[in-house]
Amino acid sequence: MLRVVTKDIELWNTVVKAASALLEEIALEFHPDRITMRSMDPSHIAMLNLDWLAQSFDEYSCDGEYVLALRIEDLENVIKRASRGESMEITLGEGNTIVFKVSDGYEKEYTLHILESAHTAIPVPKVSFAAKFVITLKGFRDALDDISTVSDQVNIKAEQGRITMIGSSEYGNVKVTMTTSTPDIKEITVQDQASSSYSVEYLQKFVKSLKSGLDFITVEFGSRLPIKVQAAFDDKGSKFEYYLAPRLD
Amino acid sequence: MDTETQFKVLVEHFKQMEDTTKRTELTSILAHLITSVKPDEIGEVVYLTQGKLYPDYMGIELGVAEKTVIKALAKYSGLPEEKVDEIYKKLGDLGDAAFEVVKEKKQMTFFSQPLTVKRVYSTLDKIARASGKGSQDIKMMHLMSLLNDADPDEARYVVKIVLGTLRLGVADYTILDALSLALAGSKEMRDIVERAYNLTGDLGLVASTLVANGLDAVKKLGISVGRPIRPMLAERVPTVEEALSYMQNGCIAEYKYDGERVQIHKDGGSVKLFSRRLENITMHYPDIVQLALTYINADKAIVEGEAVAVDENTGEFYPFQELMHRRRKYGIEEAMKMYPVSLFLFDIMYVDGKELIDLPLKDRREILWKTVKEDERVRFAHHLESTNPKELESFMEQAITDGCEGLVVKDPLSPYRAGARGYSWIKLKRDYQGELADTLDLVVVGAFYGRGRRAGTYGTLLVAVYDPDTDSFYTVTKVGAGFTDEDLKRFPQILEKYRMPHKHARVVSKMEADVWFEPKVVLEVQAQEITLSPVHTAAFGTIKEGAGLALRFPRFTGKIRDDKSPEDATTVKELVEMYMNQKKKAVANGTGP
Repeated sequence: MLRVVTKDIELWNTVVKAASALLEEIALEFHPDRITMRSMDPSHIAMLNLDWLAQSFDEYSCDGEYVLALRIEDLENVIKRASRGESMEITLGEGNTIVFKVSDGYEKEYTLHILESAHTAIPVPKVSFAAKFVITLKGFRDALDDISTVSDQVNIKAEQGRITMIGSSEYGNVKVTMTTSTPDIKEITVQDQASSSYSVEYLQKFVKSLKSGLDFITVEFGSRLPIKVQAAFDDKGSKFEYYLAPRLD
Repeated sequence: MDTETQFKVLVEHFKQMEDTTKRTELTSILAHLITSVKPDEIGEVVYLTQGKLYPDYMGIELGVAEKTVIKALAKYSGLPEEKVDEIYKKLGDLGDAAFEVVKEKKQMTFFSQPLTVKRVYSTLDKIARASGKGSQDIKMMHLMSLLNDADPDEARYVVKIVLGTLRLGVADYTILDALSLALAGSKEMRDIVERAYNLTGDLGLVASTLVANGLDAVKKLGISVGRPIRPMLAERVPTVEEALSYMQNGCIAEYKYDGERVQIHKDGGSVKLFSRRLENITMHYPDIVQLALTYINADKAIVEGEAVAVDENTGEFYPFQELMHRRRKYGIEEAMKMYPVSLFLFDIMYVDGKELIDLPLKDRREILWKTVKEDERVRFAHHLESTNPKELESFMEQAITDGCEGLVVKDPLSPYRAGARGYSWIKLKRDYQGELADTLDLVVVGAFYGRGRRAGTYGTLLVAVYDPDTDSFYTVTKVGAGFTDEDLKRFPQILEKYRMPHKHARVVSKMEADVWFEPKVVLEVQAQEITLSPVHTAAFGTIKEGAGLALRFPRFTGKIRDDKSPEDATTVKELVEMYMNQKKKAVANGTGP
C-alpha cells in the first residue's frame, strides 16, 4: 500500500528538473518514513541525494519498501501538467504502474509504467569539508551567472570570514567576494583555507532547478574535493543534496 | 565483469590495422582479434570493427552530430569548447582531437571503471536508440560516460566509431577470410560460412553463430523475411553470341532497366525494401510499399525487381540519375510526386514459408506470376524466351529504344545463387561505336592535386578495379576528363571523409598518389580502349609479363554509383575479358596487331 499526497508541486518539479539534467531514468525509493533517491550521472561527475521525509507531505502512507524507476521525460510531462496550488497524489496502479492524480476542481489521472531498473545503491561521498557557507539561493545563482559571463569554470576560495568566487578566461576575469557582512550570506565557517574549481554549467543546472521559494542553501567544499550544495525543503528535515567532482586547475 | 574483454584489446588491434598497408596483414590482425575475444562478444566485435552496431539493413545509425561530440569532450574534460574546437581544426579529425583532449583532462570524477567491449557496445547502442526531443543531450550523456573511463587511445576510437570515421577498411570478405584463418577453416567451412552470409546479410550473426554454436548451426541459418538476401549478380559479355554460348538450357532474356534494384520483403501488413547493397531504403519509396501491399498476394514474400522513374506524361523512363532524387532524407513526398516509379519484377525467393532459391528460374518465375498481380505500375520485367541470336539482337535494340541499358539473359534452370556472380545470368549492354562495349565501375583510391584551372582541387583521380580472389583493389587509370565544375567542387567534399595518411591496405598501386583514400566511392567511367601498361597493377602479368592493364582516354560519365559498394565494382576478371574481346574484335575488323 502506497499513498503520498502533497500540495507542493514545485518540490516535485525541483527533483525532476535536477535529475533530468543528469539522467534518463530516476529511481525513487519509497520507505515507510521517507522517499529517497540517490543517483549519479553516467560520467560520474555529479550526484544527487534526496531525503524527503514523510512529515513533509500532506499525507504519507507506505507499508513497505518500493523502488520505482521511471523515465524522467515521462515524469516531467506529468509534473508539467500540474499547477501551483494543485495537490498531487501518488499511488501504485495495476500491473506495474504508478498513478499520479492531480486535482484542483477536477481530477486528472496519469498512469506511468514502472521500468525494470538495475538499481544499485550508491554511497554518499564521505568527505570532511574544509569550508562551509550558507547563502541565499538568489545570491549563489547571481554569483554563478556573473562568473559564467567569462568562464565555464569557477574557482572558489575560502579564507577566514571570506568566500571568493573567481572566473577567468581569455575574455577576462570576474571576481565575486562575499564576507559575513554581505547581505546574502548567513554564515561562513572555515576550518582550513581552501581553493578548488568546478564546472559552472553543472552548478547552474542544479541551483536553477531548485524551487525559487527556498531561502538559504548550504555550500561545502575543500581543496581538490567535491563541492556539496544542500537545499533544505522545509524546517522538518527534508533535504536535497548535490555533489560535484572538482576540476584540476 | 572481470571475464569480459577489455576495450583496450580491440583498440590495440585497431591501431595495428590502421598502420598496415598490406591486406594479408590486415586479415591476420583481424584473425588474431577474433581469437582474443570471448565467443559471445564476436558479433559485437565484428560490427565495431566495421564501425557499426548492426548490419546495414537495420538502418540503425548512431546519429551523433560533430557538435555534440565537441560539447561532450569539453564538458567531460573541463576544457572550453573553443579549445576543443581549436584542437579539432588543427588535427582535422575529432577522434585524434579526443586523444589530445583526454591527455589534458581537468575534470575529476567520483570513480571510474575500465571499459569493456560489452560496455562500449551497449552504451553505443543506447546512443543510437536515443531519439526525439533532447536526444542529443542523452547521446552526449552516454558518450561522456565512455570518455570518462577511457584512456587517450580508447577515447580516440570511441569518437571515431560514434562519428563513423573509423577507417580500418575491413570489408565483409576480409572478415570471412579472417574467420577462416582464426578457426583454421577448410574450404568447405568457408563455403558454408559464405553461404550463410549471402542468405542473411549479417556477418555479426554468422560470426557469432559459428564461434558459439559451430558449423552445423551456421548451416541452419537461412532466409528470413525482413532480413535481406545478398543479390545474385550477372557476369557481362559483349555479344549475344557469346552470351548464348553459356545458355545450355535455353535462354530467358529480360530488359535491363536503368533503375534501382530493389528487394521487397512483405510480412503481413509490413513491407521492407532493400537496395543491392542491403541498405534499408523503405523510407525513400512509400509508393513501392503501397504497391507491394496491394499487389503481392501472399502473407509473406520476398520478391526482387527494378524500380524505374517514369515520366507520367509520356510513359518514358527517366535515367538512373533522376531516380536518385528519391534517395533523400527530407521532402520524400515531393520527390515521390516528381519522380513516380514503376516496378519491374523479375524474381521471387520466398513465399509463405517456402524458400524458393534452389528452384530453377523458370519455376520461380511461374510462382512470381501467380503471387503478384500485374498492374500499370507493377509489371514483370519485359522478357523473351529464345535462343535465336537474331531475335535476341532485335529484342536488345528494342530494349535500348525503350530507354533500357540492354538485356540480362538467364539460364532457365539456374537456382538463385545469393551473393554470387556467374554466367547463369549475363548482362548485355549497348555497344558504343568506337568505344569499349561497356562502361566500367571504378573505385577511387587516390588523387593528384590539380594545376591551372584545377589548382586547389583534385586534377585527376586514381581509380581501381576489384579482385574478389585477393579482396584487393588494383589501379587501372587516372581519370580527369568528363569532370564538370560541379564535380570538381564536390569530389573533395565527398572524398574528404575517406582520406587516409597512407595507401590503404587493400589497394595495390605502383603509383604514388598525392592523396590516398579508403576504397569507397565508385565512379562510372567510359574509355576508348584497354591497353597494356607497366604502371598500373590491374591484371599485372596476366596478359604480358611486367605489364598490367590500363584505360585509354578514360572519361567520367557523370555517374557516381552510390548504389554500388566498392566490391561491386568492375573486377579484374571482367577487365581481362573486356581486353580479350576488344582484341578479338580488332582482329575481326582487320585493325588488330
